[in-house]
Amino acid sequence: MTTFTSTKASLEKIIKSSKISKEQERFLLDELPIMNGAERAELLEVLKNVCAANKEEQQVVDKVKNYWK
Amino acid sequence: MPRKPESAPSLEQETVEETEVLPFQEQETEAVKRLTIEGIRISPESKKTIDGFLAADVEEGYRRFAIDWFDQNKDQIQKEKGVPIENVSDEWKINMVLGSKARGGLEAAGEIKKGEYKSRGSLIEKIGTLRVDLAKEQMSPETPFLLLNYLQLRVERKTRDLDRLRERAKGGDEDAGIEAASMEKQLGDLYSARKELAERAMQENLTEAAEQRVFERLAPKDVYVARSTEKKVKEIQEGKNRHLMYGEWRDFMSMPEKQRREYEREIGYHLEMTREEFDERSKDKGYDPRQASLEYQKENYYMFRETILMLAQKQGIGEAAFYGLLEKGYQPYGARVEKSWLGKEKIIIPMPGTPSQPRRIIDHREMSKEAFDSFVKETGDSYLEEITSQATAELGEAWEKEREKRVRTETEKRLTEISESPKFAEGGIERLYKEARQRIVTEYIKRRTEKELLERKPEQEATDSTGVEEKTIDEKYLKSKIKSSKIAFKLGRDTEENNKAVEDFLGDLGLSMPEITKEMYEAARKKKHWVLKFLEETIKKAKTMPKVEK
Repeated sequence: MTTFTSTKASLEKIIKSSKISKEQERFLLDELPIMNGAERAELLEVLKNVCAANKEEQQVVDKVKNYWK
Repeated sequence: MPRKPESAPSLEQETVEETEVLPFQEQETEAVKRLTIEGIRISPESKKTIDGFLAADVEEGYRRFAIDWFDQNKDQIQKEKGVPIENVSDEWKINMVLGSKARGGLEAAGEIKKGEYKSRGSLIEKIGTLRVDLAKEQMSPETPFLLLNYLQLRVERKTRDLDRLRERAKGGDEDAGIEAASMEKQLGDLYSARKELAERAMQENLTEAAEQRVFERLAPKDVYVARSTEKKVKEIQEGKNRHLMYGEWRDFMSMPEKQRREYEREIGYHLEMTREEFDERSKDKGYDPRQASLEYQKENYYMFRETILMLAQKQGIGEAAFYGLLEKGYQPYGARVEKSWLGKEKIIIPMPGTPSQPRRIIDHREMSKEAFDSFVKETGDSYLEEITSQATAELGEAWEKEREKRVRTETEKRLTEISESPKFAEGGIERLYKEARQRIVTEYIKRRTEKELLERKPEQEATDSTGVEEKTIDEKYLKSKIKSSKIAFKLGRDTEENNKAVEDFLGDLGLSMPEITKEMYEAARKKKHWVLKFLEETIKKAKTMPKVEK
C-alpha cells in the first residue's frame, strides 16, 4: 500500500520535472489521484517517452556545441 | 488508507510499484525508440547544392592531404617506386598517393586518419556523416544546425575569394571575371539553400521577419516619393533642358557660317559673337590659346541660350513651354506674329528640317493668338507632367530597390546569427522538442478522454417536446469530446480561469453559464473521470437556464 503512494509521488515528481506545459502538467496532476494501477502504468510509459525526448534533446544540444571542436 | 487499484492484476501492480523514479535505468531508455520529432525536410535542389559544397570540401581535403603526405614521404616513395620524383606536379602526387595499387598508386588514403593528419581525417569523416544524414528524407534535428555552422565559414572564405577575383577582373583579367561570375552563381545558390535550411530548422520565415523590420524603419513609399519629388523633378528637368538646349546649339553651329548669318538676319538677333569680339573682351584674362578656344565656345553657348530664351519669352513662351516645344521639334524662338491679308493676326512657329539638312524653315504652324496661347500652355503643362511622372516612377523604383536591398541585408544578418550562434541553435532545438513533448502528452490525454467517454453510459433524459433538443445537445456534446480534452487543460486550479473555460464551452453549445464555486470544483475533483462528469452536470444545470443569444 505504501508503494502505491510512493508510486503516485514518483509520478508526480516525474510530471513536474518533465518540461511539459503548465496546462498539461495541471491536467495530469489532477487526474493522478483517481488513476488505478493500470492507468498509472500507462501514464508512466508516456512519461518515459517524454523523458527520453528530454534526454535526446540534451544529447542533440551537446552534439551541436561540440561537433566541430 | 490508499484506494485499492480497481482492476489491475497483481503482476501489473508490481511492475508499477517496482519502477524506479528518475533517472531511468539504462536499459529502459535504450529500449525506448529514438523519439521523433518531425524531422526537417528541404527541397532536393537545396540538398544538391549543399551536398555539392560538402563533396567539394571532402575532395579538396583529400587532395591537400595527398600533396602534403607525398612531400613528407617522398624519399620513401622514391625508394619504393624507383622513379625520379623531383619536380612532379601536384596532380601526379595526388594520383600517386590516392591511386589504386593496380594502377601504380599507393592507396594511402587511409593515412589521413593517422598521426598529424588525424584532425583532417576527423573533419572529413564528420562532413561525410552529415552528407549521409542530408541525403535522408528527414534530417536528424542536429544536422541543419551543424550544416549551417559549417557553411557559414565556407561562405565567408568564398566571399573573400570572390572579392579578390573581382579586383583582378577590374584590372582586366578576363579569366578572373569568368571565374567570379561562376562563383557568384554558386554563392547565390548556396544562399538560397542555407536560407531554406535555417527557415525549416527555426520554423521562421526569414524574409517575412526581415520585411517587418525594414517596414518599421523605412519611410513608406508614398511618403518618400512625396518628400523627394520636387528635388527629383528639378534634377530631371535641368538635365533634359540642358540636353535640348545643347542639341539646338549644336544644330545651329553645324550650319555653314554663311547660313548662320542669314538665319540671324531672319530672326533679327545675333546668336553668336565673333572670335574678334571675344578676344577683345577677354584680352585681360591671360588665356593661353587652348583655354581661349574653350572659353570662346562656352561664351557662344551661353549667348545662344540666353538669346533664344529671350526671343521666345517675347512671344509669351515660358521656360517649360519653350523646352516642350523644342522637344516636339518646334523653334519657339522663331515664333512671330504676322498679319494676314485680311489684317488678322496669326502666329507662326517654325519647324526646322532634319539635322542632316540645311537649317531652313521648311514647315511651320499658323494659329490665332488664342490658339497659340492655349497650345503653348498645354505644351508647357504636358512637358512638366511628363517630367513629374518620370520623377515619381524613378523614385518609386529607387525605393523598391532600397527596400529589397535592406530586406536582403536583414535576412543575411539573421541567417548569419542563426548559423554562428549556439544560442540560436539551442533555441531551435528546444522548440522542436517542446513540440514533441506537447504531442506525446496531447495524444495521451485524447486517448484517455475518449476512453472515458466510451466507458460512460449515456443517461437518457425523459423525452418530451425537448426530445429533439436533447439529442442535438448530446450529439454536439459528443462531437465536442475532443474539445473536452482542451478544456481539461484549462481546468487548472484557478476558479476564475476554470469558469472562463467552462463558459466558453457552454457558450458554444448555446447554453448559459450557471454559478460554479471553488468548492464545487474541489468536490468534483475527488471523483473519477471528474472532468467529463463535471461537464455533464454543468450542462444539465445550464439547460434549465434561459439560452444564450448567439
